[in-house]
Amino acid sequence: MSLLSVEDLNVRFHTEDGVVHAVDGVSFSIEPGETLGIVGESGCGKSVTSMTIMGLTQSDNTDISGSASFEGANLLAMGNDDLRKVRGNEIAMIFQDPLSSLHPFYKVGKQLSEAITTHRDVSKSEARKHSIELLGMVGVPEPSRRIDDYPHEFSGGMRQRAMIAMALSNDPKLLIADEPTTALDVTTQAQIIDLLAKLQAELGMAVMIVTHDLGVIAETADRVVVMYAGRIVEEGVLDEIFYDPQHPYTWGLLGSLPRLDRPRPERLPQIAGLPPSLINAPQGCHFRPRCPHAFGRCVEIPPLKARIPDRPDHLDRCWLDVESKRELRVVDEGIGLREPAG
Amino acid sequence: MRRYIARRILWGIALLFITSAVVFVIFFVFPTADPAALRAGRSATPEQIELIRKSLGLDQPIYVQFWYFMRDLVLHLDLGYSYQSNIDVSTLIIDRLPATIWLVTGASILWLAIGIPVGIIAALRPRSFLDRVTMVTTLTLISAPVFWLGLVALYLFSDDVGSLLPIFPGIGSYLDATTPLEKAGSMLLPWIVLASASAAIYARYMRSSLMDSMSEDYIRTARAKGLPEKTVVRRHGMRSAITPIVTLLGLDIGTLLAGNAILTETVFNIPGVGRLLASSIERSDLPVIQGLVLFGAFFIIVFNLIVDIAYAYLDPRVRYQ
Amino acid sequence: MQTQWRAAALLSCLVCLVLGLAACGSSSDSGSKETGTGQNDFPPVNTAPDNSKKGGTLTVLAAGDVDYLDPGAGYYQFTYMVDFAVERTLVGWPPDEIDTPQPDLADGEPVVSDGGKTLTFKIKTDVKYSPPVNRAIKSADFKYAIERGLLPGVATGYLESYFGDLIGFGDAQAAVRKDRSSVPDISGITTPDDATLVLKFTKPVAATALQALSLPIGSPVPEEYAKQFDSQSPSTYGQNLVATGPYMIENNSAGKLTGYTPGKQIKLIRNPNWDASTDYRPAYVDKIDIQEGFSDTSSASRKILTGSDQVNGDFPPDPPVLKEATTQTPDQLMLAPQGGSRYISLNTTIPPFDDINVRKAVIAGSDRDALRLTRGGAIVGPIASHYIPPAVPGFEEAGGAVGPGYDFLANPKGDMALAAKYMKKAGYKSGKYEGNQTLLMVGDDSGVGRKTAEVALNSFEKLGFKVNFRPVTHDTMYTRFCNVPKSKTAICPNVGWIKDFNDGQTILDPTFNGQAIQPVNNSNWPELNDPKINSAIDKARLISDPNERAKAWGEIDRQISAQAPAIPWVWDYFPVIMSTDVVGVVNAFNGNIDLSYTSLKNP
Repeated sequence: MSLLSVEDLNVRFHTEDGVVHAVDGVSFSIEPGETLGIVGESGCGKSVTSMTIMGLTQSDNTDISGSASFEGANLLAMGNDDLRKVRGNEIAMIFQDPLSSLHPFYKVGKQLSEAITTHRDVSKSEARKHSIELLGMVGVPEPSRRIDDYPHEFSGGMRQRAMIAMALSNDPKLLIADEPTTALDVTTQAQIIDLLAKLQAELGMAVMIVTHDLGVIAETADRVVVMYAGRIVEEGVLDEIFYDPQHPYTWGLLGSLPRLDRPRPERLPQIAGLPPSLINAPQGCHFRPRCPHAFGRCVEIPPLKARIPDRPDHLDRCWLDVESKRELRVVDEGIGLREPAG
Repeated sequence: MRRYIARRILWGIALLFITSAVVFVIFFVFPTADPAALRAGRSATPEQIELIRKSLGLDQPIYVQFWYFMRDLVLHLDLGYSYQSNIDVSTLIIDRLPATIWLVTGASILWLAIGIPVGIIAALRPRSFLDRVTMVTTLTLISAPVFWLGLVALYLFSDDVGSLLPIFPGIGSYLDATTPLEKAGSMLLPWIVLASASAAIYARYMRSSLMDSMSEDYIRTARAKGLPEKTVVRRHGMRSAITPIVTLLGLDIGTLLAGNAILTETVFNIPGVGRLLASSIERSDLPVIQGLVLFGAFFIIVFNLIVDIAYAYLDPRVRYQ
Repeated sequence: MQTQWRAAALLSCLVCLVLGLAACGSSSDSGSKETGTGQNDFPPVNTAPDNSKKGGTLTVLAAGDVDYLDPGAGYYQFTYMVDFAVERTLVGWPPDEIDTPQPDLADGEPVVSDGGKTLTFKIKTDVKYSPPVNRAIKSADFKYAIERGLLPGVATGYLESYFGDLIGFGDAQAAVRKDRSSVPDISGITTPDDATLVLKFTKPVAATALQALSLPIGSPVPEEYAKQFDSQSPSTYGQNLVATGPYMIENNSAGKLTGYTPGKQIKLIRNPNWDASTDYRPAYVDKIDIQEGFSDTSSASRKILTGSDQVNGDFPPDPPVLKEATTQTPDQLMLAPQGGSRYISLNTTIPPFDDINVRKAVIAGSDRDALRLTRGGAIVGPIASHYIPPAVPGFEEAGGAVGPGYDFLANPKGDMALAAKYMKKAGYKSGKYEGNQTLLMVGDDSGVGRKTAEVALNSFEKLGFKVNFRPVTHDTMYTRFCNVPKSKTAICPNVGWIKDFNDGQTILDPTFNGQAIQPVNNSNWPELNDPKINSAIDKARLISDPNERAKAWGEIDRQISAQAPAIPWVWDYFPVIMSTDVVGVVNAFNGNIDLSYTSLKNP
């Protein structure tokens, strides 16, 4: 049984401008100890997906359907109290901006201890002791002193370490990391990525890493889900996605990735156009308006399915046949999507 | 922090000095009544007026008068005598302070007790029926002039001129009140009237402040920790939402004590500092005006300082050097 | 709905009240009597009914405060209302007396001798001061009371007007100029023994001085007690006042007043040392609680009318409430003449008002009825047609209610044709002012006074004048503009004069005598300086016979009116209102409630 299994998840937000269909029939699963990367541009629904699993998008203006089963129990159908017992305990989450994600008025130690005492019946001093251990574990120097600092007294990297410590405080089975490195500078990014990898190896938890950065995915993920405009467009193990991408959007993403093994282009290639509005999404394939290879059939929604023989785990949503895809794919030139010749 | 406070106090003293100087200048530059002539009465001769002018020190150049004023204030804490009633100014002001303090304290407790919870409820259920009712009611209360509201309250609910439900002590009942209980009774209507607009303002302020803080990332973190929603609101949302309210409260109380409650004091005939200020301005009673402005400035400065200190206490990011 | 309407109407009245009051100390409150243009349907009661009951507490509601409790400084009707109950004077005014003041602390009629130059009093030595002084009064106390008025810390404004001709007055003034904190000696005041007081004048003015001694200056001040307070400037005797009347202001054992907080409250209690057998005052109620600060007079008036034990002290109910009271609670309303006139002064030294025909045109063209309407219409008093108000001797001689008979004062609604005629006479062929002179008009900046000023402004503009209207506070209007000739104020729309006592001199001398024009505190606002009028005034001041005086001052009034120095527009009443259980008695002299005669139905 998968640790987490998301089936046909749909999330719609009712706004003044109309209904935003932010997540459209998303299904995926995570196995224990596995690292799943979800990648896509901002607004593609990847963060909404992860927050919905945590029950953080519930409101009067949100319609959620589908299921998210964690160890067999549907998180989306749980009452608030049951869900709370899972949150921060069996599933923990860290966020993009560690400064705004920590409460500015409380000391780091207090916020850590709070995470512990919420789920465990321990004394304040035990919680504090454990907090110091956690801070040490995530690499905060002098943890017994830094525990009494306020978040603003921490550097960006230290804050994210503190967030990680907070997330790990109850030995979660799944850690959702939503853009964990985006707000950090490059060297700190690498440290945090290494830390996450190290901790996962030590603690054996599953990690769901949500990011727009394929570099982070490349360093951490076992399996990758590529999302575009609320839908999964491609899914597969890391190498498959990087070396045999099937969806033109994935090509574009890979093409915009700077690579050390290629000469540096004058400027990084981009995908032409902008992602569609999710209030009035294009008919059929959502990527159709930006896709140079779109053809008549693309007005129908391509199902997400395995299309390469013998690769049952490599799924994609593109009507092009596998051969044409491999011909059209120009990723190796490192210039992303371009107009087909002629 | 200590150095910061010391510096603020010094600055406050400088500010008081500047305020006094400005009042002096305004008094002499703009056309106000001639205190010596007022004091002398309508049949007095010019010689008599000159004599009074001399004895009041008004024949001296402005800066000399200002110097004498400052000297007496600093050396003897003496604010001088009222031109109008010959009574020394500090006695007059100290006599008026309790009524204003009563009024402001009671009203602020009332408006906090109403405004904060209403604002919280409205913030947690935005666009709900309750929220809408609250917002419409508060808008009405904010728009209603205090004077009008006071008169309506009097003509409906006071036991002297009220006609609907005459149960509250009426106009001037504070003058009759001797026990604290009677005083509180006489203050009921004024409290309600003074508090109503503020309660409405605080409710709206609280609502938007809490809505802002509830949409912060750290609230998401708190929820992700698995904290019960009540704890999320109370410990994480309220904590930051209340900070601007404290600022507002400090400034409001400062200005009200400085005389800003004048309309309520007038409608209900509460002998507070606002009334004294109005009548002193009317009678060009410079020493009393000067004293009241100093007191007012003092309250505003003190409450500003309190707000700053409270801020530093509430928000650890704020540290004053 | 009704409540809201009322509330809206009330709103406008707050400011006006504050302003109206500011006037009182210096001059503008005025009154009048049932005559001519309007019958007084609510005549004041001036005697207490025989069955008046003793006891109870009377509450007086006031918007403002007394001016000064110090009898040497008090100069205001509302202050007199308190003084008449607290401070007995040598001669005083029982409520129904309007002609001559009656002996009060004087034992028997005072004697005027030496051709009107000497005034001799015998004094009731069995009258005692209230605690803590407790001793019997003596003649030296009266001498001290007058002399201390010269101190700048006491400053009796009218002292020189009525006592300036005392022998030694000039020397005493000179002494004060040298030493501003010692009470000077006026050699013309002597005390042959404790029961005799003699005032000697250089001119035959004793009769006028006698009347002036009915004002608070005629009350005794115990020197040995008051000295310590008088040595301070300003004197603090007012906060340590001792009483001779039936009531005293609550004080502590040292004499410090505990029952007076300025602008807030004056508490009168019975004076334990008062002996009813020495006094004409019945003093029915036990306590009088004067509550101040009711600046929203509309609600205060309703409080009085619907409540119990209350009367109004210093404010007239505003017009809507007053109108309502005339029909709904007529028994609770009395209109008391106060002995004053309101007028719009025209500065006769400023062109084109230096031309008498222009002034006549202005008066002829002014709608005095519209002016009166700004204060509430006919109910507030008759339209004035000259200067001596009703009930003051000389009124009838000056033309009575009908007026002196000049055509430009004949039509209260204004007569534009007549105005045009006078304008033509002044050389303006169009019948309107054609010159380029811009006239400075300084009037009230708010309230009823401002409305009056605006109506006046309108009527000036209709006659072709260019007017620069400068609105300021009432006190500023007087002390910085209208009272200061140098300010070149052409029109003062909000001035008025009230009698000091019942004598034409107190109305006309300070206001129209050319010799009285002074650089500051001038009250001859038109700056009328007619040699004939000046010399007539000089002569009239020295007349002792009351009938002759009345005739003389009436004639002067006619001469003044002929000079058209101002637009007289109302002799207004002071409307007294009271709760149903109050048996109100109005003091005819003071034109306000007499606290020593008013009683409660159910004490």
